[in-house]
Amino acid sequence: MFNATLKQLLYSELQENFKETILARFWFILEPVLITLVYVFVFATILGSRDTGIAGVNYPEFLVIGLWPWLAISRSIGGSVGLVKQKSSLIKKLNIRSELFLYARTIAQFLIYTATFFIVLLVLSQLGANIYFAGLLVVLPVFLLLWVFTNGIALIISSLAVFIDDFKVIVPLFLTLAFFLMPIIWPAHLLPEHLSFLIDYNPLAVMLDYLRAALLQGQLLPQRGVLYFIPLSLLLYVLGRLLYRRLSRYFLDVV
Amino acid sequence: MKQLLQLNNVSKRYPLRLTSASKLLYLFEILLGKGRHKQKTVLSDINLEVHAGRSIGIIGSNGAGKSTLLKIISGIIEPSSGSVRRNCKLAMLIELGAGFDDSKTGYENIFIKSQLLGMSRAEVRQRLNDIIEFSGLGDNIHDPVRHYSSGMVIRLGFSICTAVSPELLITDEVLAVGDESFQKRCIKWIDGYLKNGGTLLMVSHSMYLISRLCPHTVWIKDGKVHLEGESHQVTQAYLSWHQEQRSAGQKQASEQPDDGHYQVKSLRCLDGAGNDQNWFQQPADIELEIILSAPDGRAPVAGISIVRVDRVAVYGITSEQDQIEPTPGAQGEYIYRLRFPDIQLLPGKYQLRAHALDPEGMRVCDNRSLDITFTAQTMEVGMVRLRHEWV
Repeated sequence: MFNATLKQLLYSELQENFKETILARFWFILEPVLITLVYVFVFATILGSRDTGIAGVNYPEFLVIGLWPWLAISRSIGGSVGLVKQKSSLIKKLNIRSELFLYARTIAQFLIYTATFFIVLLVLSQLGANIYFAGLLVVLPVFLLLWVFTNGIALIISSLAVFIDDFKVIVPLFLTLAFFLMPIIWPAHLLPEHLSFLIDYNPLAVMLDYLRAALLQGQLLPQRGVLYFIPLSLLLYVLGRLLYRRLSRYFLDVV
Repeated sequence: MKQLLQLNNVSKRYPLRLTSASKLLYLFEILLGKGRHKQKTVLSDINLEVHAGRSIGIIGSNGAGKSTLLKIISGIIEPSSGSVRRNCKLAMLIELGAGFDDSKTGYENIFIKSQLLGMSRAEVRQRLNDIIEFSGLGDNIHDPVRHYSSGMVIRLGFSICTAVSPELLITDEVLAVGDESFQKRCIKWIDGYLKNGGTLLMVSHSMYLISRLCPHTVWIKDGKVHLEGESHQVTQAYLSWHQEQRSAGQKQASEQPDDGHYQVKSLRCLDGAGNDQNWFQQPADIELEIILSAPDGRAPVAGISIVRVDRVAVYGITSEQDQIEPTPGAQGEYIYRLRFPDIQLLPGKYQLRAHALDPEGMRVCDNRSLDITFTAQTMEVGMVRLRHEWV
């Protein structure tokens, strides 16, 4: 699957992110740092919710570890909605399988956010955050698993979006809601008892929890929820591929 | 002979007009596997086999489904039913400008486009010099593609496609673009490609190119294979069908009384045996029969001219210059017959034009033309053979 075509698409996708900007590659680092600063400013400094529920852990590192995987996921999914339409001029003219554009996009987002994740963690630990470096071992497997999960969803959404124009409104809205309903900016212990289902039945919340436990407390052993996530992501991925295959042959009838 | 491509009962149907709501309905139909949507059939039951070294021409009028067929063959769209088996590396000389990044230089775009087409970086590097040389872009190769003329973009695209060294090359009227010298280079390249065992699948409206480059031709009409076989026969059948269509249209028009004109009623080109013919193997005698009509009982003057397909005039003569009187036919018709014994035209496509002039030979009132093609085993160049001797 990883052929010259995908490589080229991935390359241009990575370039696309910072193309023709004056600071070009610096944005790669600058953007996530600025995002972190603003979130910390709003949620820690202004709202003052410094208690992360984990002893000795401050809000910035708590936030970053939740936020980064989410940025990779939401940008991948958000970017998949109009992808077929956006690339239709190429899809109609060159015999490139359209899902390669999708793979290039999700892989690019995950590469960017995995790389910057390491950088931001390094910066935080220099600033005095207590990061367990053994926990770094789980970062790549977790991001890989999250990519499989995300790519499955992105395959489903991008193929359905070709037929259902409303997706371009629904998906961003859903992503915004999901962002606030997930334990990314708020720690789980602040959630009222009767709303605990928001976390209990959310597979992504489990993964964020695991990542935090590994990096902030050195707990590398995954809980049961993490193990459930593996077959779940694979299932989504297979479903996504099947649906995409089924629908993609009709894309050019509609686009 | 290696089979490169096989199409089995390939059909393509498109849904008619899709609104937002009907798109959703269409989605459900696809998922449930039931097709109730109103569909337009573009291609039906196409069977086609392509073998190495046997190029195939595809002809047909506009909207017959030729381009859709090429897109199915190249894998851009999938057939609604039937199967396509590709057994070779194929390249498309279609949409040559697709896949370029405007803001990058031609040089960078060689890598971008080649890799999109599936070549590895190492392969591109190997062929880089050939590509740049063939494109003839010179130093412009380091300018952004944004500043290229459309002709330059096409030249670059063609050069990249040719570098893929495909077993099967698919083209759709590509030779109609670019300037004349580049067109010649393309033809030359295709000639070389064919000589080296390449295979061509070509859509064209030029019967000349089709019969020159492809031994076998398929005529697509209304989404079906109407006729296939040896190129000469198929293109000829196609041309005469066209002529019929055209004269049917003209007949309708001429039913309105139009008596103020001297007209060309018919133009026929006959072989030595007196049969209609527009394909001649040299050496050949050709005989023309021109029937003119006059509204006023005065015999019009006939003019005849021969032009090459690129509109270069070869020869022209009128009956007045030769002081020839026509044979009167029925109902105000006048028949001229003109013979060119052992006509010395070199191989190529020519157009015969008959003109009806007023009896004074001053004013051209009506024209009619007929395409004829000459073939010969000769390496001479130009339009006509000149009598010569080496001394």
